[in-house]
Amino acid sequence: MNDLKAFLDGELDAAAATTMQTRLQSDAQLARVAESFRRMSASFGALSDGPASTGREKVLIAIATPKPWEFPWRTAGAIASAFLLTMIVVEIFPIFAQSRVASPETAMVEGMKARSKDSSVAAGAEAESPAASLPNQEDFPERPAEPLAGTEAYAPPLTTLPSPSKSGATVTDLFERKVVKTASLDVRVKSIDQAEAKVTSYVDGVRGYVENSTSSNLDGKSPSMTLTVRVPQQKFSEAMATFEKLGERTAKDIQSSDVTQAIVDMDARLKNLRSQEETYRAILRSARKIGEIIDVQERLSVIRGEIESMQAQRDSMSKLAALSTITVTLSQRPPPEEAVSGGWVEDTWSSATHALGGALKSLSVMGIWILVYAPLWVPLSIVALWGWRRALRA
Amino acid sequence: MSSVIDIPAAMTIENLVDSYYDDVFRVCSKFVGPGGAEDCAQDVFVAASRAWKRFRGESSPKTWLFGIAKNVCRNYRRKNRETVPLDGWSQSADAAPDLIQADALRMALTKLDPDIARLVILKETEGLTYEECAEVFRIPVGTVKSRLHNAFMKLRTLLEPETSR
Repeated sequence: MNDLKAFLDGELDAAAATTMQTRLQSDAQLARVAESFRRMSASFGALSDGPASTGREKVLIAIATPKPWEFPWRTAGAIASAFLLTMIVVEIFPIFAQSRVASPETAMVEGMKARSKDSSVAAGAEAESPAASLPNQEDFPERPAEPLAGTEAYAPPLTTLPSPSKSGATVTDLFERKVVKTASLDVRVKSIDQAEAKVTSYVDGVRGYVENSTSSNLDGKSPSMTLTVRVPQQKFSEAMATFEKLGERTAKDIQSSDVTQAIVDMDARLKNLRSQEETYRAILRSARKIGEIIDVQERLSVIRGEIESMQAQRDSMSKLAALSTITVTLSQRPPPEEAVSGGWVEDTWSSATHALGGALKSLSVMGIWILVYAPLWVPLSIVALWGWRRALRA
Repeated sequence: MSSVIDIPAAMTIENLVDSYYDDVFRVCSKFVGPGGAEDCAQDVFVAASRAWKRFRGESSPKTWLFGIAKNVCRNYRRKNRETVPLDGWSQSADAAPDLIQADALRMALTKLDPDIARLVILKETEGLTYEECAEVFRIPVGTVKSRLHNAFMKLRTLLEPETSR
């Protein structure tokens, strides 16, 4: 049936044509369809009175006239698109890569958090911890916002945490990481006074405080000031970023120390000392001889001293971890030297050459970027152009 | 389809215009009507003059030009939606009386996919073979066969009163 039209047009081979001929003789319905096809073909073929052709001369003129040069917008567009696509991929890919790397760790933390809810021993330790009153961010090891390779440390991976069974720490303790962070930052600013005001204002805003402030040469050409500030640990990265924006950063140093193990050990020792204290108190209550009483009281006194000393150390360490220390050294840029005017010609020449230098530098930077990314955008451009030309031909 | 046709080395685009302008104009007139035929024919030869150096003779110059005309007319129709195929065309006065009227054919063609309608026009009014149609539309001959058959089946339905007279 599908060959009927081809048969009527004489486009079938001999064998297929013979078969179709036989079918047409035996199938009246097919014969009627064939007849209608013939009538339609004949009707199309009878169309003859079309308009006479015009415009031949215009065509000859048009093809004889050389085509004016046109900017290759399509080529430029394809190259620009490929370059843009490359940049987008390069910019976005690290985000995906980072999220993939982060996923297993996040899952592990979530899993351990879920298990910690079932732990019956967790509540007491949490209540005792001063960090319990701090926001949630502190409960988990937090990656710094702007990690600097080899300089800015953060809480070590969970795999390095002390074993709860050995240290006596509960599962909840695993997530109350105590990391003491200290940093120093040197910034060259336009105005010492304004920068100091901004630092103080920021520190007050995040409920931190200025621990120390020293200044020198305030009346001179290059005054400087050093501020030691304490900010909540979870605001550490934000504070560093804020202070860096005060001016031109000239030096930066970040150090961190995980004191979780030390605090857990202190808690265990405190618990042990308190238990000993209770035992001695019981002995004291039942003692009858003066010598025994004096001896026990001396021991109690020693234990009480150890408890208080250790408790003070523990509290100090917790406070250090809760508030990070940042030492900001602000130095003021020296005022620009008074330019000795050599007339408008020299001034213009100077500014023009300066601008030219800047423009050349910018062009060089752009050229280097384009060159470095050439292995990515050149093949893409070729593929895009090839596809475009293929589409045009089709 | 893969055979290469010998194109005379001295043949120029001007020769092409002389030889095929009427054919191209006629086809354009059938595709988009007389109103746009001149513009389309001009565009066809301008495009052909740009691509002439790349023409390797894989099809005849005529089918090559018809292929360009098909694309040019398709673009023209996109910009001018009101164009009707076979507009201005009619049967001669001495044609057989039982033929289907040009108006009915025109209206039925507008119901088809525009590319299918162009295929029908080239085959039925220009007398192209299936192989030439395949070259113009860059499709296999088998596809030409099935498309034409299906198009005629649909036309038969659309033209039922006329075909059953």
